[in-house]
Amino acid sequence: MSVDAHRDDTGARMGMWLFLFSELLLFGGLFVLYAVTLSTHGEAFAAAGRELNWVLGTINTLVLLTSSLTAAIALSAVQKGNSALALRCLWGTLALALCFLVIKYVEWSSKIHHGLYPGGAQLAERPEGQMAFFNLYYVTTGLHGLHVLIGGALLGWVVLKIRQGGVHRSNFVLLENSVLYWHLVDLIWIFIFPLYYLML
Amino acid sequence: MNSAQSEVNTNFLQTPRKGLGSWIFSTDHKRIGILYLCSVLSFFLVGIALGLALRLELFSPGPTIVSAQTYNSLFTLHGVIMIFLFIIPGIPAILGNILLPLQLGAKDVSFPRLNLLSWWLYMTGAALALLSLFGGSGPPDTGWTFYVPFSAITTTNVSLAATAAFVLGFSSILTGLNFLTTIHRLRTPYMSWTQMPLFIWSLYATAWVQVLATPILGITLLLVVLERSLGLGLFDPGKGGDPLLFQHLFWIYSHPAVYIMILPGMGVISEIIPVFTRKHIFGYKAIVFSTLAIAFAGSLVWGHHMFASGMSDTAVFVFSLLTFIVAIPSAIKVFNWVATMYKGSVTLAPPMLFALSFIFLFSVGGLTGLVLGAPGPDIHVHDTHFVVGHFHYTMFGGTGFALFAALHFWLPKVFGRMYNHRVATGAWLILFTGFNILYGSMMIVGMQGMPRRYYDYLPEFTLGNQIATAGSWLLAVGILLMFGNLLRGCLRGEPVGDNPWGAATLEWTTSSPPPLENFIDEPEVTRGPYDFKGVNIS
Amino acid sequence: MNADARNTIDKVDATFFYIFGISALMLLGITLCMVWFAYRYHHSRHPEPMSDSKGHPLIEIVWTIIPSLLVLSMFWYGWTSFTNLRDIPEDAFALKATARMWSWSFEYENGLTSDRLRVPTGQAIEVSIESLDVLHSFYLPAFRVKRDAVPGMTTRVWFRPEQDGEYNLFCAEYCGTGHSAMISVVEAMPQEAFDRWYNQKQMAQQALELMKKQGCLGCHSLDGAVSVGPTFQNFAGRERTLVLPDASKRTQLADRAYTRRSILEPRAELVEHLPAIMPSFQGRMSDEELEMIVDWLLAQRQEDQKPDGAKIFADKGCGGCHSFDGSKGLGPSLLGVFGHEARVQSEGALRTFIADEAYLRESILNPKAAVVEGYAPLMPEFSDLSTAELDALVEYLKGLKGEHRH
Repeated sequence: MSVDAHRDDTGARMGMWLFLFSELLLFGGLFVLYAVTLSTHGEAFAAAGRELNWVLGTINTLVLLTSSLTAAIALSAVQKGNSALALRCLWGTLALALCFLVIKYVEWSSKIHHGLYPGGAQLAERPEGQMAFFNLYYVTTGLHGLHVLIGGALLGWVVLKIRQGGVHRSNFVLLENSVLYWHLVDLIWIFIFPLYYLML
Repeated sequence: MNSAQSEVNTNFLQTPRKGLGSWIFSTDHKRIGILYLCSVLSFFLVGIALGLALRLELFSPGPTIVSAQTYNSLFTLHGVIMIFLFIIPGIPAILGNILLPLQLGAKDVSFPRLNLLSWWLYMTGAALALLSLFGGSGPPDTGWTFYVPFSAITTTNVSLAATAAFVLGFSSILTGLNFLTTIHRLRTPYMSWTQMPLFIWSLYATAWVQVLATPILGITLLLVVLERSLGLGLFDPGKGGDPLLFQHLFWIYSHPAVYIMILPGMGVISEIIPVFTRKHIFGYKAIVFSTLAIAFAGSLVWGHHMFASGMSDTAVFVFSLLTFIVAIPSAIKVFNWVATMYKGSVTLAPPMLFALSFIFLFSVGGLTGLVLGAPGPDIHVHDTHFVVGHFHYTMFGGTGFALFAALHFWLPKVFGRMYNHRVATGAWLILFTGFNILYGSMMIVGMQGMPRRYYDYLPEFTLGNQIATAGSWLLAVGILLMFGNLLRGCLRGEPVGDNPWGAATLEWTTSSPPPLENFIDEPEVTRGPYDFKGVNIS
Repeated sequence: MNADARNTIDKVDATFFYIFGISALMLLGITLCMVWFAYRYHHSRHPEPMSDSKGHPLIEIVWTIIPSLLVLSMFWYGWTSFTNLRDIPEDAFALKATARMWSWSFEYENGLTSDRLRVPTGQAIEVSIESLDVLHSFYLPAFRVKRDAVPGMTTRVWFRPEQDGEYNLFCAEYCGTGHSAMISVVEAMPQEAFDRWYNQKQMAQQALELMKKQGCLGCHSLDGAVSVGPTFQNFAGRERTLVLPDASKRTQLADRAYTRRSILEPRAELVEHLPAIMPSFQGRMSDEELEMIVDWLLAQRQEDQKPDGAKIFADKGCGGCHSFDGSKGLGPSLLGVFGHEARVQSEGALRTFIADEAYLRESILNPKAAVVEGYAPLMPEFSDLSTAELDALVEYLKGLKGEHRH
């Protein structure tokens, strides 16, 4: 019996959406923590937020948005049977993902260098609210970074599948789901960016 | 008949491939269900052994068999195993897996390979939980609730246990989304939503809660692990955190989790009562709506675990009110079940006995829950043995008995063999008696003011504790007898026909055990799930 | 009785009865129906179902609305009994409870501290609860009162003991090895007795000043030194031989009557071997002042004043973490602790100390300064120990001889 007999693209898409819901709630827990801590330590949050590098944050936002765009183009290209364009776009997405992680690495290491990390000497001397801000910042961006890695790996696997011909114009649900996942990674960053970098 | 066809026709227990590999790598939902059956029930027995040890320790005040530290680890592991390894996966993972496609007239679940992955994740989580017993500085001693700051500073293997719960949660999410998709997509086209068996409805509501609530537990436990390993301190008041936030996040999952546990049990009861009264379930739609209402409203009541925690009074008001509102749909279900029996033709076969005792025990559990939902009285009994008694009535008397009912009801379908009815009835009687002695006295001791998680207690609580411990022995005897009888029935019992109870849902229209792809011909939905006219026992 | 003489018990118990009452009726109804149906419609009596009813909207509505009204009334009782617990009477007597692993300590507004919660009967008591380490919960079953002790915040409860007696105080939130041993007592006593206890320091001070003013201390020493008159040290604890005017002798332990007589008519009964030179103080002080001095004298009882190290060890819950048999707990075993080489984390580095007296003292007063290798910095500071208590504790630890293991 072939796998095709059981094929249900709508079902696969539905499963993915449900999974994305649960991912959102995973981050939801962190956003709830953010909201509650913000309400008790508003000013400390603002002070700490200003220390983050908003220029790098903005660049990263643009990087991720662009990567989402290329991913979307890749999907539409596959649907039209243009696998070559799709591959180029996916490579673009992967390159941008790498770019995002490198920038993130630069940001983290400069903060860590200054002793601003959970358990770090510098951070221990800060007011409580700022400690909470940086602790949350590391968890949230760390978990998001992990999702970038997972999403990147997923897209890399799809690239392989396209080249092997496993994903094509009449069977593209794997790509579609991976792109959905990538959009989620993007979407979460869209929340993280203003909450942490644009604190006024 | 060519060979391909005959392979489809052979029952799923006897596919050509043999050996362990044909089970642990099988993507057949029935085989995965049996994998869960074996693993979940094994952990249940471990949990029972731990529970018996706890009761033995409490037989007399002061040290009895173990040290305080060991006692604390025992109740932690009893909780973790019973909650995460037994009762959450219990009915959905065992019977949901086996029955969901059968009752929907489908060949399998939507994502068979994901289903297998769920089981592997379950086993990984279980292995991690067991691993936490060894190495480091001893087994975890935080209680299954992992409350901070204690869980952040104790030196025991909390991180490993929390990681185990995280992995188990992931398994639960994947099962949930698999079931949701299956119900939406693979229901036979002849079956409308209102023709779905109530068990499916209960799995449907449960799956939503699994998908939406479990991630919150995941992130919360992750934060505890990070707090321990990196000194993150998001719940540490010295670092701008708040220990109460942990409790909120923990119960945002763990309260809906009790509905993950009980809803499938309610679904089982809604299946069994009509079959053994030969009558249509009373108020099908009311039961469906109450199922969905419980799943929805149950997600908004987590704060009733925190009336004494220092939470604001406004929050107490809101959570208490919502808690009482959740009581209503549960009451509606009970009324409908009892009303189904009115003017029926009742047979007190073992599944029915378990189902009826479910109604009694769950009612006791639910009604004592009213006291806990009322903030004034709750303050007195919160964190006492009254609470322990209450949730064993709902979770064990409820979900546990529903699982026992379900095993007695469906195992003949799965294995094509029948257990001994007289032994089953005897086991039920012992179990039911032991249960009430054990948890009834626990509730009384709790009313007297004995706090829970107490290794040692004042002499005035001795009598109640001794009666409870004696009850635990009776309970254990009943359980062993029941499982022994079931096991013997599955392996060597009398062969039975396709429909030994005369039930009307689709799984009874195929052979026992079912063939590899469930149905030889596409099943037709010729009758409602509770329409017994003309259904013959075979 | 003043107008606000509420207690914490009545409303909660009334709610219990209300909810349990309705619940019992419901349970009885459900169970009877179930059993009756199973009997009446058993297939042997009732081989075919007599109804093909699939439900009835009206019945559903009825059994939705009735329970709804019932639970709403339960909610209301539950809520009002809760607000009563939260609404602390304005005249409540305030004190502070501090929880730590695994003991309670209570501090009164005048600075008095105690490990038992002594309170005056009849008075509303307000307790502010704090925790030094993890979550605990302040639970008085007799008064239906419970509130968590949360690090970083202060929570409050109140209660009113209406009868003298001792009531259990439990920790109800799991807090580790010593959780079930974290028990104390509420000791409710008559207002007068409480005042005497509560004002003990102040009263003693006043009595001493009064005696100084009256010149008592010119002839009577406080420290046992020999002077013109007998010393006040251990006044109530010793027997004395008295010589009566008729030259007969008898022995006497100080009671209230004797003490008053010895001040008002000092020459009526003389302590053997002492001259009759003390003047009568009749009319030289008010009766109140006299009582104050008598109280003070009767409190001078020299028991073995040396604190008991083993008792302190038990009272402070040390045994929860530290064993005597070399086995590892949350903290290192104390078997042979004195004089062994301790490897500790101190100021970020691993150091080795000989566990001498100074080390033991320091590790009790300031445990986080040096933490034994392989253990977490869990131990709270016991800086509230008096010098004498600390000495006794260290002395006790020195006595735990054996081969030390970590």
